[in-house]
Amino acid sequence: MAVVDRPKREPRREPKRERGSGTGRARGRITTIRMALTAWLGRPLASFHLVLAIFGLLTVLGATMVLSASSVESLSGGASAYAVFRKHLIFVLVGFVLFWLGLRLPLKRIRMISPVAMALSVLLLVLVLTPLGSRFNGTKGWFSLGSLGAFQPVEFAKLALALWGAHVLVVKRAVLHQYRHLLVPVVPVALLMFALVMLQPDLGGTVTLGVVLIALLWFAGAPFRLFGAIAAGALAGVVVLAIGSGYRLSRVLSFLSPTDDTAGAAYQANQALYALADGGLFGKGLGQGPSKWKYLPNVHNDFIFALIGEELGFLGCALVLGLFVMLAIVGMRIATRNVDPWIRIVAGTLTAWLVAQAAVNMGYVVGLLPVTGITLPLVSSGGTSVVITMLVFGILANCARHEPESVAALRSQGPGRLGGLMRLPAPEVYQTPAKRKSARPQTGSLPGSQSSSPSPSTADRRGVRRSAPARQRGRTGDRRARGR
Amino acid sequence: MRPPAGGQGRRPARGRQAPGKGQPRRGNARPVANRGMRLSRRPQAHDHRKRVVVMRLLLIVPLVAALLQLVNVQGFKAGALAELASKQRSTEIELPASRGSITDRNGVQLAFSVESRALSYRPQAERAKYADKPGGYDARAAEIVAYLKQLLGDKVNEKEMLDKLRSDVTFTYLVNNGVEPAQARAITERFPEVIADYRATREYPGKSLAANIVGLANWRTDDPNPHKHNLHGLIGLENSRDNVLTGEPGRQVVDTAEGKDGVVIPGTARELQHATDGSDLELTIDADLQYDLQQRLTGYVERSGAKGGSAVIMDAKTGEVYALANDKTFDPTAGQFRDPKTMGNPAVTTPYEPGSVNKLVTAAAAIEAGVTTPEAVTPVPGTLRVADHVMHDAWPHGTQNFTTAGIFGKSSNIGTLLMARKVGEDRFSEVLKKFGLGERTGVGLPGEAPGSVPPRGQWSGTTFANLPIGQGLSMTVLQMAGMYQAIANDGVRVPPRIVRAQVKPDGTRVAEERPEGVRVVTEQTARTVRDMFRAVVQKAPGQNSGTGPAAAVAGYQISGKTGTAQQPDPATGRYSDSKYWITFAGILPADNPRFVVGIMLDAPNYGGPDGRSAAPLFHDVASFLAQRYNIPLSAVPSPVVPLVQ
Repeated sequence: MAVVDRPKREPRREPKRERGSGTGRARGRITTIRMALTAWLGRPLASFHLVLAIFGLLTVLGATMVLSASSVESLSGGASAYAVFRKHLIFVLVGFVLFWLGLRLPLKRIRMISPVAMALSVLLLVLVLTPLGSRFNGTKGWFSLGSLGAFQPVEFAKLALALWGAHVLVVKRAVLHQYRHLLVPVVPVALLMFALVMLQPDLGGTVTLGVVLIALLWFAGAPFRLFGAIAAGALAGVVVLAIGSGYRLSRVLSFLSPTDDTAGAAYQANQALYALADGGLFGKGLGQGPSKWKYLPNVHNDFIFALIGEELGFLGCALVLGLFVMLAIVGMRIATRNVDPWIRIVAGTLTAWLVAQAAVNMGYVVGLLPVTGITLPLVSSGGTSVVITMLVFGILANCARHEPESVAALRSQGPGRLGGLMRLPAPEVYQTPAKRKSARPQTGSLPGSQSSSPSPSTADRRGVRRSAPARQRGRTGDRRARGR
Repeated sequence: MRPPAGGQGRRPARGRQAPGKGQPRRGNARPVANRGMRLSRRPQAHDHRKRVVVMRLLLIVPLVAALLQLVNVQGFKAGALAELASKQRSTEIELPASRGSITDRNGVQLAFSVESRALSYRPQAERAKYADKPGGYDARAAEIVAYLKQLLGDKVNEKEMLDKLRSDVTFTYLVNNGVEPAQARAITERFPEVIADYRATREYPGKSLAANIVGLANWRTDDPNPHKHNLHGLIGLENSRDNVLTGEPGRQVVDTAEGKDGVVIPGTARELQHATDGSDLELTIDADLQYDLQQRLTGYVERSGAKGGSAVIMDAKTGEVYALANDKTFDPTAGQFRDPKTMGNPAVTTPYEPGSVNKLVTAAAAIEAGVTTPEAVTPVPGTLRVADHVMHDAWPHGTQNFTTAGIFGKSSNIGTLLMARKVGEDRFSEVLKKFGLGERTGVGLPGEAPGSVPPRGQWSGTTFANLPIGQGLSMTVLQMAGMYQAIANDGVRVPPRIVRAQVKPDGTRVAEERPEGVRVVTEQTARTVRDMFRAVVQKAPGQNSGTGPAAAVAGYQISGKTGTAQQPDPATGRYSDSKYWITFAGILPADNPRFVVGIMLDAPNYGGPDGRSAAPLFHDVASFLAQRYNIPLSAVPSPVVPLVQ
């Protein structure tokens, strides 16, 4: 698939050269850079390295900004000025372990445990509503972990839904042309989750789950008119939800006329704008932002982007935005280049989830959306969110390593310095349908194929398996042969 | 290079068309499809590519929109918004200048300032917050009062405070002043609705000690600008030296954290104008001596049944006031319940007629004029007619031969008048003036009275019969002591002073300007008079005792003079025969003067044991002085001189 991109670029380059010869050296230099960039992006592990870079930069930037944002709150809490930061660091360390696991576990294994994860997350979502769960800020969505903080099952549920949904949709791939198979069981289960999360109530979590569901259906190939209907339904849902709850209505109203009540409902949004404006182009300098002095509530989690704008200025904000744009591009690139349909859906869905969540967060911070409690992935100090996001990045990086070119390179030339350091196993080549055909009826190795989709006919199932690009595999094989 | 789109996508399509195994199944599938809705099958890979591109676009577009909005917020609107942001943060804070302290000559603090807080509350606004919780407000109010009571103890009257909290007013003070900043912080942290305002409390550790001199300062809120509220003096030196003590408050603009008591954000201070603290005042008072004098005077006034009394102890050489006491004093820390009558300082504000103490003027003038010597003998008749008055002595006697020392030692009015006649009205008047009578001493205390001396031009026939014996003119106890200070200081009168120096906030000490001495009589005259007046405290057989032997202090030569002056009786318009000012002025020790003591008792019970003389009080005070200042004993006791021959 990687090869697919190349011809696309070639024609673009041609006209540039023509113009370049007319305008002089600058054009020539740009062309040189462009060629170098294209060459770099064409390397087999480019996606993997890009994911690692985005992951590393966001994590470090996030930790730095959490330290800067939380010191005042930590100190006024009576303990050390590093209390919140220390907690964040612990979560980041746990997240690193999960990232590594997500990167190291064979994707096949992850796919296999996805139904269990799904069942577990639904169970947790139910349990959190019982007295076992604790309530923070009016939302009963946490399991308290004592001094360490709390675990928020909805974050785990998002990942489980993405993995399991992709698995089910891939299994049912051949019969997805029937609405019945397309929507059942993914949509009812997702709706059950929405309901459980809304019982907490956690609108932000529901919205993100919704994004995951829509992305699943989108990448699974659901018809476009379905999304038209979903968009209309979502709009109606927003109206109903907003009117149904006092605080949401006031948030929406304050969003629609922000200058009306700067001390009341629009206070937080307004303070975020003040913070951004205060930063200007270059910012006030790291640690110098005044809005963390109790002016901007939740500055170290929901509104950390405002503090980035205040302390690092427009440049800092543009960096964060740029990293998420890059994540969108790289994630989609991974989804395109992979051949395993499950990986394609998972990579696309996970990317859509993270970037959409970031877009919503930054959107409400800059005043384009009404305020919802959605965190900025990896940057905000939000215990479970950070841990799960790091796990997601691990899986995404794992997917990147499964691009056929990467597989070929890794299998032929070894894991490389970084991969060796992390003791990453060589990714497996996408199995041929033929191989599976013989294995499947006896073992039923994919639990979902038997339990959750009994209806598709054997032919359809075969279709599923056969649909895998045998040709692609052949190409890979060719290459490998050539490499040797 | 590009593979034909739908390389895999076509396969399902082909599967659909392909005959063979699949066909029967497809036959089965058909009814399913007929039952439910059916979607068209499309080439998968191409479709997926399109979906990926669209999704990428969908994800990037909002991010770009956010970027554009950032350009707007952080670029175009940045100025206006940042100004609003800075406005909500910046606070102008007062840098209060601390009021200078007042110390005695040894650095003992008589008055100093302590930072404190006043607690206030907004009952209406707070009650409004509990609109939907009936009873919630009253419970909260009770909670606040209980905590305040626990923390502040006696400063809190629970019932009164609860009434204030529950009253229907916009604003009320709970505690006006005197809450320690740490206590206030504990209260506002627990009850953020309680407002704590900066205050300063004036502390008077000695309570009534020197209260009539030091006076009283309290927190003033009369200025409409709250920034100008400060401690200011009400009475005493606190009032008269307010400018020196107050200092100049400074100000500064800072950014503070959100909230009404938000902490100052580090590094945001700007436009700093430093506060200049007030200067300290160092008095000439000796706190211990002052305490002793106050105690003794108050006790003696009580024993003698007097209406009042004043006393002063002065340095014989420098005129510095070591102690200045009134029998009535007040406690500046006692709060609102003070008797205004006790808050004055009659020692400097209320002159009296000195009586025989003033015979010193006649004696000094006579010796200075050379009209007599202490040993010279004068025949003194029992009565003397002056103009239309017949003068008597305090005790009846026929014509007796008094030495000059005897005339003053036994306080003969007739003898004194005979001496005065020898001096002459003009010379007498001149000496009277040189002794500083009739004009303020400038001691530095507010409300000082000059006393009154009839101007020379207005003297009537009897004036010269009254002035030499200390009637018909008035003086304060300070002026009285000042006369004896001149004699003690070998004829040079140094006007008394009570403020020794100002100590600036930076520690520099600026001595108060010292008044120039006034030569009243020659050194020789002063010594002669001083020695002659030792006879007053002489106790000798026959008629050779002075009027105040009770003032004598064993081992020390004492020179002094008793005085008994009739008070005018407003009822009769004449001098009263029962109400007197009893005075005493003395020098310790006479051979090498260190201190001058002046005492005045206002209308003591003249018939009682302690009502006739202030000499015993002088004895007590002088004894304490000798002890406290380790005054060396006189080399020889006062010689016994004949008074009557």
